[in-house]
Amino acid sequence: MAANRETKDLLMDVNQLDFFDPQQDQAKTPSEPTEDVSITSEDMMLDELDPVSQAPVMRLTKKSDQPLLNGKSGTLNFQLGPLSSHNLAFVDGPNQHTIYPVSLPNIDNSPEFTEYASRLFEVYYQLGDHRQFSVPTIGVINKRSIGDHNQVVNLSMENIVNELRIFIENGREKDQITDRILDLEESLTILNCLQLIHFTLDNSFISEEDGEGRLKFIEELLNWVNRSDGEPNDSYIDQVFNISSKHVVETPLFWKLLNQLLLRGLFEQAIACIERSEILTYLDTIAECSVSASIIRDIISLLGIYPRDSSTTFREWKSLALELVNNFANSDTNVSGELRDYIEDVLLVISGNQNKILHYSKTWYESYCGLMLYYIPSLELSQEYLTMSLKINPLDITNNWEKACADIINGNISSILPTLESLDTCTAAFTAAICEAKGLLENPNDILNNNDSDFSYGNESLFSPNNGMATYLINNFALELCSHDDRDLWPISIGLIAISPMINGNSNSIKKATISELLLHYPFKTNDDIEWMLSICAEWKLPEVAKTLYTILGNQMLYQGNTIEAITNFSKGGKFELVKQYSWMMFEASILQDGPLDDQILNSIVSDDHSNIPEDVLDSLVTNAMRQTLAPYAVLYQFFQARDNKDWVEANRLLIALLSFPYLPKYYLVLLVTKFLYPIFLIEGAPKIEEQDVLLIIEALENKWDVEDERSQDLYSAVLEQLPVDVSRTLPEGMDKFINVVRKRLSFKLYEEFV
Amino acid sequence: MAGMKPFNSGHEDLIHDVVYDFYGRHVATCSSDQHIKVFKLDKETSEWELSDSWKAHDSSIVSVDWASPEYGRIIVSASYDKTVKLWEEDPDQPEGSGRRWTKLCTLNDSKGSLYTVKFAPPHLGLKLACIGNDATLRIYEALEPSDLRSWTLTSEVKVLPVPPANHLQSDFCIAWCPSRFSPEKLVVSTLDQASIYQRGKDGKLYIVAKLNGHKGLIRDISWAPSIGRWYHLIATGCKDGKLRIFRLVEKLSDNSSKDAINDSYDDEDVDMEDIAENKEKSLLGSSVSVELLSEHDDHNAEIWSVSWNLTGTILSSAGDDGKVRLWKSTYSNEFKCMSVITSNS
Repeated sequence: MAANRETKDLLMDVNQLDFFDPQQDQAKTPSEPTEDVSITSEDMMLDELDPVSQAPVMRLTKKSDQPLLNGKSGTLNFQLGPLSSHNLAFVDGPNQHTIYPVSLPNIDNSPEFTEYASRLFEVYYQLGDHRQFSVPTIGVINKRSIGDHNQVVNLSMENIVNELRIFIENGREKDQITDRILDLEESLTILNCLQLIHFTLDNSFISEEDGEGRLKFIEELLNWVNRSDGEPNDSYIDQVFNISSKHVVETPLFWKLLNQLLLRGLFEQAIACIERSEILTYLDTIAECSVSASIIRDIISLLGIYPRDSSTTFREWKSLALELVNNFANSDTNVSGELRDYIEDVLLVISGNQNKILHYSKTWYESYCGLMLYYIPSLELSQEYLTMSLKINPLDITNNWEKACADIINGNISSILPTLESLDTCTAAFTAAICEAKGLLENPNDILNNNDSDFSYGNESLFSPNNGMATYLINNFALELCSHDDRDLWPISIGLIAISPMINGNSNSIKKATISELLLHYPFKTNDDIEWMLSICAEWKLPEVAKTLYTILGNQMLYQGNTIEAITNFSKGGKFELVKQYSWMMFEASILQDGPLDDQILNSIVSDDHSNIPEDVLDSLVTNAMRQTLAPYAVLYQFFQARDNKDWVEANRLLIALLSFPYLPKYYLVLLVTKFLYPIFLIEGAPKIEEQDVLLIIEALENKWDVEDERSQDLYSAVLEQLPVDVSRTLPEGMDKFINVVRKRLSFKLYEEFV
Repeated sequence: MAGMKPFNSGHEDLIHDVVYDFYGRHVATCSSDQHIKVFKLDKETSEWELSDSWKAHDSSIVSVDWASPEYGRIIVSASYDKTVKLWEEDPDQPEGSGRRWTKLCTLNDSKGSLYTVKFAPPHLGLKLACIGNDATLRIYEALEPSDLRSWTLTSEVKVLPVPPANHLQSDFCIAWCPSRFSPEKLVVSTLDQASIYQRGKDGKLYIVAKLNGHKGLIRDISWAPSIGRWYHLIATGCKDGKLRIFRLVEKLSDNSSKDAINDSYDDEDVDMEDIAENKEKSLLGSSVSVELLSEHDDHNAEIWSVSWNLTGTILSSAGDDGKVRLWKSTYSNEFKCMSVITSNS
């Protein structure tokens, strides 16, 4: 345990740097499948690439359940769904009755992702005018303004990197799948490098020469290199210190480890390594070489004061290191030639000797870091350092980030964006946008030949290459968010489409068209959601989309049995045919049930009693169109009240108003006559009807009574079925005969009036 | 991928079609067992639950589709029994009762087995197109929005001079242009040909372009949502083993039929008779040019289905190699296979 703790002392502060440990994260992956439901990503992912396309391959389902294994046959079909996490495959073949839901790869539906995307959007949105990079070409060029712009954009980049770090930490805490964390870690390494090289030393306040600039630069350099791979690792350090045949300082492994720590700027760990080796005791007592011991003490002192924050002090520090090299070279020592060489190599590394730095580097980025720390710390030499480093240690092409980081150092930012996109579309989109704001991406017009037909047609497309790669990635990501089935991501999506920079002056029209086609897919649930959708419609002047939304809402309300709300929405959606249809349907239902419908809202609308529902709520429900279409029901409602109160004069007046209503569908005349006019006013002993009213009734019957009309016949039959047997027997079976009965009774009424 | 549990459809014969509703919360399936089934997504468990199942036709049901939610909850089905049927959900009927979907209407004009039926995009009204073995494209409309039981045959177009012989393999597919900013358009594949029809100002359908290059039966065709683009993408899956992606560009014309015709056909092997037939193009008000954007033989086997995602940014193809391939366009407008889902390894 003690040895292990000592080993830990030689590592960087893990808690602070939090570099990735695949084994540890693997252990965190959920390993307890819950019943048969859990088909984990491990079940599905195949550790291979498709031989034709070189794309990653995954299984449709568990290997044992694959539908086309073991001689099973059929044709494979696949349907992409509106939600990226829900797509379906099925096999059209004998005994193939299973349907296979499939989520698209690399879709993160976690709440942490939503939070991450929101934060990045906020960072990008707050850039405001700084989202666009412009080179002032006329007027007085204000250098300060360029510096200010850089400062704002650099700060945004810093925020993005921080948010990514937090996102990774949150993901680890939630035990998210390892592959995803690995991809994000690679993204972070690329972003760390990007920030180091292009977002640190060029604003109004920070330069290479001043202390703050150097401190920031060195910290970011060490953060990038050391977080990228987490080397040197525990087992390697154990291996170095557990050699028993020799004293550790006599082994080359120890000196390689020490130099590796130095090249990576891990000064505390390097000092701890020296102390753990007990080299001073070895030199003082075993080798009895006070010169070497003194040099080691000087090295420890030098490492303890490496000037991270001052270029001037660095030059002094380097002079001291060179002095030590000279002193040691000119001193006689009492140690073996091999050990003397090792000590000398350490001195040469920290004094900036290029050959030794390159010699002791295991990777190109270690030597790049070493050169920046000990040779000449200048970004101007960055590409030169990279070239030198790559000659000794080529890129490892098995990971994504090394090539991307090399491209960043070479200033080729556009080429890293596809890599970032393959790792995480969110990070890629916002990083591209920030790079665009910084002016790091090539002007698309410079790289595209505008005469090329491939590119000339789509000027107004959101995805036109003419708008640049950043706009392409931003808009792609915006559309991707709409398939996440997460309402919180929609404002980000719409926001991104709205603010993404486009070259074409008419870009608003394509943005408006895009939003109009997307918006209806918003998975609204609450009134607030609907309000939000309507606010977008208002902002972008999309009345047709709003109308469609109201129509969809109307249908949903109808499905839930809320007829009045449905009619309100149909009315707002301009579907006046439906408003009329459902208003008349309520009218019909009310007649057939011989009383007002059991609908509190409807009855509050048509009555003066607003005790149950506040008037302002009713006002918001009732549109002008509804006031007209519900009017017949309102009259019918009042008729029922008058009838129930035996106010026959009023009841008669209201019924005649309905019968003579010019827009009354003719089939409802049958209902009104059979249900109310005949049984209440025309049978023997019924209340009187004024002559004038009788004439109005006769006129209505002449105009609308249609014995040929199927709907009228159906309704007449329905009424007959409803009536008690003793009453229905008194009525003829056919409408044609019934009208004769009615006419006869009306004539009698006229006669009665006359007499 | 975790939690994606396969489920038994409950069909007792071949499954022919699986279609999502507008929001992706319901799925309708149809089968040779003459039944339609509707499943709904449980958001909590991410599992699909059977909502209802009913015998809908007297023969194999080969195609189903959902109407837009602005017209209510309506499904259309097409069968080898030569009929198209429309169904409306009745929320008052219990789920699983077999009565939740009530028949609105039966359309029985077809003289042969039907192969596919598709609702038009909602901005065109409540309208559907179907095609079958009698090689006739039929378009029906519910002209009265308040009466969904009444459908009118508004267009009838013979897509082949003679229907294919019954003993020969044949295939017919339809895909509507989903863009609300384009005139009414649909692509119809008949055997190894695919033509784009557009409705002219006179209300008739005209062939405005052809998707050339297929060397076998076209098994599926899918028109991408053109969100964020002023051009269209159409994908076809073919028996010749190739996935083809066509780009279609529309230009508002000045009603010059000559220009329209010249612009419409870039390919050399265009049937001149078709051109002659389409002199009425001036009635269209726009011209269309089509180019083959890319051709992929990654499946190296017959391709049975192609589909686009909601935003038209991802394309899927599934073939006889037992693989689903997911394609995405790059910045330089090239479609690249980004992922493969295998069903046989």
